This record gives sequence, C-alpha cells and structure tokens, in this order.
Amino acid sequence: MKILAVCGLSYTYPDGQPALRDVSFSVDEGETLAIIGPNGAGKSTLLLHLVGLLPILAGSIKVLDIPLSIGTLKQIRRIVGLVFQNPDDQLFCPTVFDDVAFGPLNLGLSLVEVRQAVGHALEMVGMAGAVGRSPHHLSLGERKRVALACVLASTPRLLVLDEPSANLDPGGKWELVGLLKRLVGPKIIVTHDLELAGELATQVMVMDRGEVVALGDVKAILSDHGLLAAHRLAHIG
Amino acid sequence: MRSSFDLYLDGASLLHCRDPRAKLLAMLVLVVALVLVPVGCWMAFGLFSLLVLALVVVAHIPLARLLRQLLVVLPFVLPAVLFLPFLHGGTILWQVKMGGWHLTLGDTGLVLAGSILLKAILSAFALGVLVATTRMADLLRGVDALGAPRLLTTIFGFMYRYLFVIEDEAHRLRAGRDVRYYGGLLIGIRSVGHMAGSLFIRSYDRAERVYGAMLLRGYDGTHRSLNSLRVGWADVLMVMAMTVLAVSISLAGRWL
Repeated sequence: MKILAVCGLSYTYPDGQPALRDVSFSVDEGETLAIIGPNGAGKSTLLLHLVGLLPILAGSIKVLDIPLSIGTLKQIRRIVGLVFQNPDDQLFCPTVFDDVAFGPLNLGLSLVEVRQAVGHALEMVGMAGAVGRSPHHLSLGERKRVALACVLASTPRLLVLDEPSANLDPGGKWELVGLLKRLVGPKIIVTHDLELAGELATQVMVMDRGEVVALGDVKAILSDHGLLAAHRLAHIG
Repeated sequence: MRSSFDLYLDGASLLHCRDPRAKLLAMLVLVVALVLVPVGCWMAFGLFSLLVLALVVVAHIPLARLLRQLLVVLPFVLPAVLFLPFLHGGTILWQVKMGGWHLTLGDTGLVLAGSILLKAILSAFALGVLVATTRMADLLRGVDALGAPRLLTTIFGFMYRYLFVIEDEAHRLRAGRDVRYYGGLLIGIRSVGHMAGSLFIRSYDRAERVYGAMLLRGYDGTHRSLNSLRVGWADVLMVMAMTVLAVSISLAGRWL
C-alpha cells in the first residue's frame, strides 16, 4: 500500500496566481522522497496541501488509501507529521516540555504516556536535557531539533520536512543529516540543498513553476547537470 | 540572546525553589496588607520595608535591578504624588501667590503623597522579587492552577513567547533602516511608522502559521496542559509566615 498518493493536484492562490499544476506522485513505505526546485516552485504550497492546511481545488490526495477531506483531516494529520521551516512557528509554548507534549496531550494520552512520549522524542533528537528550557533560549539548530521532536512525539507514519537545513551552519546541517538518517520510516524532504537530498533521498522530484518536471531515482536526477541547471538548481556552464 | 523582557534571574535561593502558587499567594497577601496600611503610619511602612528588603536579600537580587524596574512604575504614581501635596489642606507649610492664585503646600497632602509613594515602591519591589525568582512558564502555571481563566493564561503565554521573536524582528528591521538612514527628523519618524506596520504584518502572518502548526498537532480549541506542581511543607510555611507577618504589621500600624 502506498503511504501517500497525490493525483492531478492543482492550486491557484486567491489572487489568481497559479501555484500547482497537475502534480502527481506517490511515496512508498520504505522511500525518502526529496522535492527540489528553485524558489517559488510551489514546494511549500504542496506541503501545506499534504496536511490539509490549504483546500484542494482540483485533484486528490490519499494517505494510506484514505482520501483527504474535511472529515478525514484529523485522521490524516495523525499519519502525516509536518515539520515547519521556521521552528519559531512551531514552538509556541513557554517551555520545551509543553511544546513537545502539546501533540500527545491533544491525542488524549494519559499523563504517564505523555511523559514517555516527550522523553522518547527528545531523546531521539538529542535534546533530552532541554526539557525545562524556554524556546527563546535555544540556538536555531536546537530549536529545529525540538520542532522535529514535537512532530515525532505524536508518532506520525510519514514525516514531512520543509527546508530542514535552511540557515544552519555546515556542522549543524550534517548533524541533522545524521539524525534524519537514524529515523526509520518514509519521509518527504523539501529542500534546495542538493547535498542533503543526495545523502537522504531514494527518490527525487524536481518542481518548477508549480509543475513536476522530473521524478526518478536519486542518482539519475542529481547527476543530470543539464536538468538541474535548466531549473536553477545548478550553475549553468 | 538575553532580552530586556526576560525578568527571571537564574538562581537556587530559598525563594527560587518555592511553588509558584505559594509565591503568588504570599506576594498577594503582602501587597494587600501593605495597601491597607493607614496613611502616615510610618512604623508599619518601616517594618514592611524591612520585610521586603529581607526577601530581596534572601532571593539574591541586585538592588540596582529592582530600582531600574521602578522606572516602569513611577510614571503612573509620580503625577499623583506631585499634585497631592497642593490639593489637600492641613497645616500650611509653604505658600506662594501667583496673580490671583494661591499655591499652598499642606501637610495632610504631603503625608498622603509619601504614603502612596512608599506603597507603590514596596509593592513594585515585592513583585520584582516574584518575577525574578519564578520562571514565566511556572508563574503562568501557578496563575492557572489558582483558577484564572485558561484562555487568559494561554494568551499571556503566547504573548511572552513571541515577545522575544518580535523583538528580534524589530532589531533586524531597525538595523536595516539604520544602514540606510542619513538623518532628517521627518524621514526618521516616517520610517518608524513603516517599521511598525511591517512588524504588524509579519506578526499577523506568523500568527496564521502558528495556528496551522497547532491544528496539525490536534488542537481543537481546548488548551490542555500538564500541571505538575507540587506543594511542600516549606511552601505552606512560607505562605503562613507571610500572612502572619504582613497582617500583624498592618494591624499593628492601625492600633499603635
């Protein structure tokens, strides 16, 4: 069974600007899909669709064969975990503990289970010592880890990350790569960091101007210099 | 980055370790008892000063820091304090004639003004001790546990969380302006307006994204939280000691 199947998805912003045109792809259980593309390609708009934060105007999204609609939103958000690009958008509680506990608490877990989930999630991202700290005292790299823990705490089946390496220094980026490699399960990673994509992905999808322009094996796509250059992902020449 | 909004002072003093509810109650008792001291009862004010000073010493808070915080309170108190001595009668201490007007400084007003000023300063110090020894998260948890509406504590929590983010954004905007600003009052004022507007729009956009993040983690309008506060004998002792001390000073001031 495919964990995610997107079929003919199109979207136009309220101001008339088209953002997605007939996007179709799927993700299998053991896959990591990297979605790469220049700025304004529609990558983030696509992610917001996957978790139902933008309405589907045309096409369909199925998660584990459940079609995404108003009625299945809760179910689907339980399966798909989205990590935002800016951790400050995701960490809104006074302490790290409260933030990581937010999802499990809303799932209705018991006190003991919530504590366990929080402890486990923070351990996975190597931030177990930060439980009582407030987010504004953490560095960007640390905040990104905690934001990831927030999503992991609700144990999603499919992890979706929006520009995980944005604004990180090289050291922070490679730590993150190591961390993501250790997390088993399917992932979708939106990035324009080709190093990161090469390191983590099994499949790569290239998007430009709201369209899927290439989709295939990571080696084949990342070695196609002509394709990358044509879509502002490599320098021309 | 250490922000000017960060009122908590790291430490492990006797006051730092107390339960936030106990601290809130103790400070509330202190402030109410202080407010109820009759005007001009200098002995009671003296004893309250000693009590507040003892708290400051126990909590290891630098006095300079509390004095700086007074700057926030004084603008609200000073206008009243400056006018009162001239508006109430009593024994005339000093008088000046300006045309047909008499400006009279009376002792009743002076005593009243002094009492109000002392009450304001001591209350501000007491609350300064409270916020310096309690993390904002714990303080909110304490207020929540004491029965304040959850909506209010949630909103305050958001405000405190994003104050720092917005402060950082404002710093960046200002830096962006300053590198292109070559003087001129009118341009300066106008640019402040633009910055405020841009800050508002950015914050509005952020609020949308934060709400999205909340929805994704199962938010449905009820704010659930774990309240893991525990009251120990030391907390009970502190509240009781504070109540006995504050009430007896206040009453002693009335009767002696």
